[in-house]
Amino acid sequence: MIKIGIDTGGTFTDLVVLDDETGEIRTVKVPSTPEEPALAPLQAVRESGAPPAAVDRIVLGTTIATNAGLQKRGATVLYVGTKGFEDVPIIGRIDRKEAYNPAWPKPDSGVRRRNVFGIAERVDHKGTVLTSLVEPELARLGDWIDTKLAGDTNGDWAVAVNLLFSYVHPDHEAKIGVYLGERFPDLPVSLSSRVSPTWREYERATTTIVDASIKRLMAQFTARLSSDLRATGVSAPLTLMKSNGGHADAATAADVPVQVFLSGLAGGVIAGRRFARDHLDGNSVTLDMGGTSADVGLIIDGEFGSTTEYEVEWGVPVSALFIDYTTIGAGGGSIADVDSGGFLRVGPKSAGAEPGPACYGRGGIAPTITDANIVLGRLDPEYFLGGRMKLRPELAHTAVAALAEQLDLGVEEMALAILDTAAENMADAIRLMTVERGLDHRGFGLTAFGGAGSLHASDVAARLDMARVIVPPHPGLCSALGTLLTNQRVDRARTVLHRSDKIDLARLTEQLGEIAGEAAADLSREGHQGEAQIRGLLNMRYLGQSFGEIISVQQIIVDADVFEQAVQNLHTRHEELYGYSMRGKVVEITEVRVIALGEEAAEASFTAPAGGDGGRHGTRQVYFSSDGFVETVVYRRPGLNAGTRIDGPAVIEEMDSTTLVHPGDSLEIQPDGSLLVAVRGAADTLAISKAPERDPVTLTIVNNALKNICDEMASTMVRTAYSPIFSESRDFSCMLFDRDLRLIGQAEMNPAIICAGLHTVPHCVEELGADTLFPGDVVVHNDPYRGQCHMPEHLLMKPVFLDGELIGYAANIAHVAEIGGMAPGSFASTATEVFQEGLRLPPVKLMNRGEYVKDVWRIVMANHRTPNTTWGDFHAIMGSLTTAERRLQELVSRLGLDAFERIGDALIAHAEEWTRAEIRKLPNGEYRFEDFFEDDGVVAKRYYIRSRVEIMDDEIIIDLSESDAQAFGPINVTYVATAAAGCTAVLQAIGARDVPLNKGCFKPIKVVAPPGTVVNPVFPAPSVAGNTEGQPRVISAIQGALAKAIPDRVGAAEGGTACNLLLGGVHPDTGEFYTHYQLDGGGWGGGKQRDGNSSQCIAHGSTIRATPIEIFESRYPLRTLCYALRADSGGAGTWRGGLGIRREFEVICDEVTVSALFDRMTDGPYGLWGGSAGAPCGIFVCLAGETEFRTVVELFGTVSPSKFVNIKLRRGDKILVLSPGGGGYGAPAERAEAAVKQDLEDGFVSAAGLQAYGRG
Amino acid sequence: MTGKNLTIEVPWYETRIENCSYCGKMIARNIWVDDDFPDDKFCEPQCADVKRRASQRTE
Repeated sequence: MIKIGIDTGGTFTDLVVLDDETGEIRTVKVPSTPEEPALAPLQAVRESGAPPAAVDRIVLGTTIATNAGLQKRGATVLYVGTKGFEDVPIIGRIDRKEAYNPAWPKPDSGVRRRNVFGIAERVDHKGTVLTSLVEPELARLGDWIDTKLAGDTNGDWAVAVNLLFSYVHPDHEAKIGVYLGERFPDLPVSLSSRVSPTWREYERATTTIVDASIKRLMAQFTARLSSDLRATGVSAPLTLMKSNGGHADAATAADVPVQVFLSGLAGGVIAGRRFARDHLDGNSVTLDMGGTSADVGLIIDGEFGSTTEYEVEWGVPVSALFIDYTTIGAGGGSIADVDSGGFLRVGPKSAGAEPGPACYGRGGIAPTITDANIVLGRLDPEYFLGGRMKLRPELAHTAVAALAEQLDLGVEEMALAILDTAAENMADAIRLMTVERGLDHRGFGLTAFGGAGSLHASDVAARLDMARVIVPPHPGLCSALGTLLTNQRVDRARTVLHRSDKIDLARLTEQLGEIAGEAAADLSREGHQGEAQIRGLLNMRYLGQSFGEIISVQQIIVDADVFEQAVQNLHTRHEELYGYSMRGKVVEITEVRVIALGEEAAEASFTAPAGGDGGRHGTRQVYFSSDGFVETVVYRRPGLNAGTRIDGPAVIEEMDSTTLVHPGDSLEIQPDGSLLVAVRGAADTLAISKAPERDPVTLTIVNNALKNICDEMASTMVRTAYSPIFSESRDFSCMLFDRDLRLIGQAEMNPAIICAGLHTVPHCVEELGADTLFPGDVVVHNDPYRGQCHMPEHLLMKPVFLDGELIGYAANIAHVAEIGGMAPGSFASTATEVFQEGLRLPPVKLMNRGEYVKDVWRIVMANHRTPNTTWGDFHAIMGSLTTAERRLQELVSRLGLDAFERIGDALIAHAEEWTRAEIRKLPNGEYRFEDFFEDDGVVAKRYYIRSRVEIMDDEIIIDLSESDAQAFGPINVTYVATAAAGCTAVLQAIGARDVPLNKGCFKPIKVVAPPGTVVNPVFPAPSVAGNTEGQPRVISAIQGALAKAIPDRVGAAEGGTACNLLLGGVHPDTGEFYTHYQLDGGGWGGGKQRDGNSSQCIAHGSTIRATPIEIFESRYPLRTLCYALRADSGGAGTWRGGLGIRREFEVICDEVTVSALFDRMTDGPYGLWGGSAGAPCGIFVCLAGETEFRTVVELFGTVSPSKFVNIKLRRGDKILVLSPGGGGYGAPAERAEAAVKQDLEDGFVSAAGLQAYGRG
Repeated sequence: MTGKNLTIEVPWYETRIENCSYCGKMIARNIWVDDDFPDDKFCEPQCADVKRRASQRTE
């Protein structure tokens, strides 16, 4: 019989025909037909010559869903959420991608606010129905949809339904599905409980929205192609490659299309697995490099890994099961340019297929990777795509030369730098992927394919000390081949909750059995006959962590032995990944999963050509880094016989790909025709550079590496932390310092902490003495009177040594949510001394030469209210430091310490020069402004921060000397926090992007804050609010002054309060003490030509996220009644301020202790240039049995309505939180009519609110 | 700019902290004593330099 595999992408459609009986393989490549995507696969089938009647399987991998999702070309989605929560996809998680860019546009989750609907129903985290879904509500929903459809009868509409806790109680969604199916039979409807039955309502919302948006498109595509194939005589049913590496029949795939979202990318990894098994002992990194990107996958012991999240764009996740791989913007069409920071950048911008690289001669002028390869003679312009497309080398040369001139390099040097940067980016992606999973990439081979993979593979492998590269037959067609090499597969998952100390194995087995039954039924529906092969998996974590590890239990019957082994496997895996485990701690099981495998993969065999002509096809000049241009032998692959050995330098060409063999490397043709390259000679250009500090490529590469290390630290932290403040809210920052205590690298996380770290880490080491530090030490420090910013921020710092010599420091400053003191959650809003704010730790060792300093740990654990959480969080932080230690050692090993330090000098000098250059663009002068705290929680009076900002040529002095004397209450901002705010204010005003955020950036900014003022209190004044609420107020005081200097670049005030809400008590279900630190986002100020973003975290905390309601309610005894945007809260202006949110809680246990620290409750964030202030924030309480929300001043007699501690609330009491709107910019009357109309339609402004704009 | 770096000798049990005479930052151990401002303790030479330039502008 005949099997056909097809991969249809944006440019080409590839087809592989496999004959079962003869083992013969044929290939076809035709142009894709994006306007009518079903045509190209059909054309390829026709061209293949395969007899239709003999085809018994046809599998298609496609990027149609991916591209439609990425480009938002799908249907207009109507979103249905639980009433009061329908704004979830609009609000998002409140974090920001770019810490220093106030104009950063918030990502589009795929639905407009005018298209959301709240339906009355409610279920709790245990699946108990609190509000039933009744028929009149269904009718109301139907009527609303009717109205929408009537508004655009030709529109392409779809519905996404995402109710709270649908993963434990899917019945309400099912009821809606049935109702809409009957009333609107042609309307695609996606139900979150079917699409992605896991917790986190925002992530489930975006996934369901994507599914709905592509549903009709995929249904039409599969129906059309199935029908056309039948018409040509192919009776085998069309099946689609799924993102999880299996395949499913077309109808099933179209029913939940998100499962084929990455269909087109999975095939490559599957094919890579085949060749990794055959040639690399089953352990390989796969590198699929095409025209626009490089996809990196991992094969471990012959199997690929899986992951559950993919981002359509930053902040818009799709939660489904995907083959584990990572993509970077490095393909043949990737454009090389110089970024605004002056560094060479290669990708992610791509010239695409049109106009394509400059050498295509279709009008492209930007140099690309393909152009660089042409300049260096690595590609033959006469033999591109087997000679079907002629390239123009003179255009490639011109494009590369123009860039070379900018960087003062020779043309070949420039081309090499482009390829080096691309190779290093790919190597970095592989390093990140392997190290994150606790693997050593040096033990892996590299399987290279895609049109450009084999051209760059040896270079990438050499940088990673990987000794072997395998290039499969037909490398440009591997994705099509991969579609044939996979099983029929169904994955099912369900959120559950079990603890190892109270495990109910019978129930666990029952739950696994239920989803196993569902998966088997799905397989049967897809045509599988016989018994399915089913594997069970458990998502396990230490109790308190937010993310778990997937542990295989193989079977679905879990007895005591199986469970014990699974627990042991979790410990082992945790050690591998993060460097530690916590044996003896309670383990939680949060999800059961099964994989059901049906129809087996096809058997494909390959044979190298026999009796080839040796393949030699002349010579040409090819440029290599070590030797310059070298006369190099060129071979044509079809003529190469098995066993042939070729020593580099050499070029192997074939129709769809070119393989480069570097000098010193060798290649041998394998019996199946694969090319096995032994990598020996390719040099690590980082290691051999003689003057790395003057080499822009080396600087780019090292700067990227330092940032990547910090990103990796953050990833370790998020996955292992216990507190939602880390795993969900991400209130921490990761940094690297050199041994001279200069900040050299950071993840772009919270500016508040990064800028503070500049001072805190040097202070800590200076006080202890570097000579007292040893390998394996970890120091902790949170003392605001020793250079810290406020008490909750804990610096954990690890000195890093290489061969006994100190090479730098890894640091993580993290907001520990409970450190004792007068209030649970340690936000002592009425404290009058630092002693009331929790346990104060001067710099002391937590670990000494790798051993616990038990006395310190005992003191810490005895003084925190939730010591188990502290234990887990401290270990998560230390895990991130260990990650950084390993990676920094690796980097310095490659470079040598001397070169590393000279590079550090150059990067710091570059950043300083960049910042000075930006400051020189600002008008010299002295600018003043003031902002204030409305009270300090202790005394009902305002405290003013007065800024005098002096711009003097290339430096800025921020003088806050005229600010008020220090406060009695905790709003005091320590010097370190004030200095951090000063730097953030300036960097946001000038829009720092692309520049390395190291010590150099901050040198031209000097902050003056005399001791004894509210911006630099003296001991023992309290200061816990100074970091969280004080920093934004210092920022707004400085930016108000800067707005006078650069009105086009500085916007109106953002919300300026984190709405800190602290909850604590004994959980009625567990009897254990809990605390929770809740944050909310406010509106951002409008600015020149832009509205402010709604519901976004405060200025100095870019990575901070709101805790998902489903996680909050699963952990704490409060119920959320409402989470919505506040209409009319954005300050009116020509450019409107962003909206704040409204959130209501109800206490559902006997007692909860509540503290709060808000500001701007009396006066909203200021507007600029005639714009109105945003709406003030608020916190109010409604006692059980009452109907009115009142301030805590009225109810409990506190001094401040916004800053209070230890209010006791009882069952039925409610809390209302209002976050502020952002200030408006420019006169409201001048706001464009169309913008006002849109605001009204989206409910951002109400009919009454129109008056603020002089309308209505 | 002339002056010298000095290290403040502090007993291990001492908790008092010095502040920079110009910017107000807390100083752990190392101070800069500038010849132009002999009575001041600076957290770094740059602070003395900024103070010097600011003074010159005022004059």
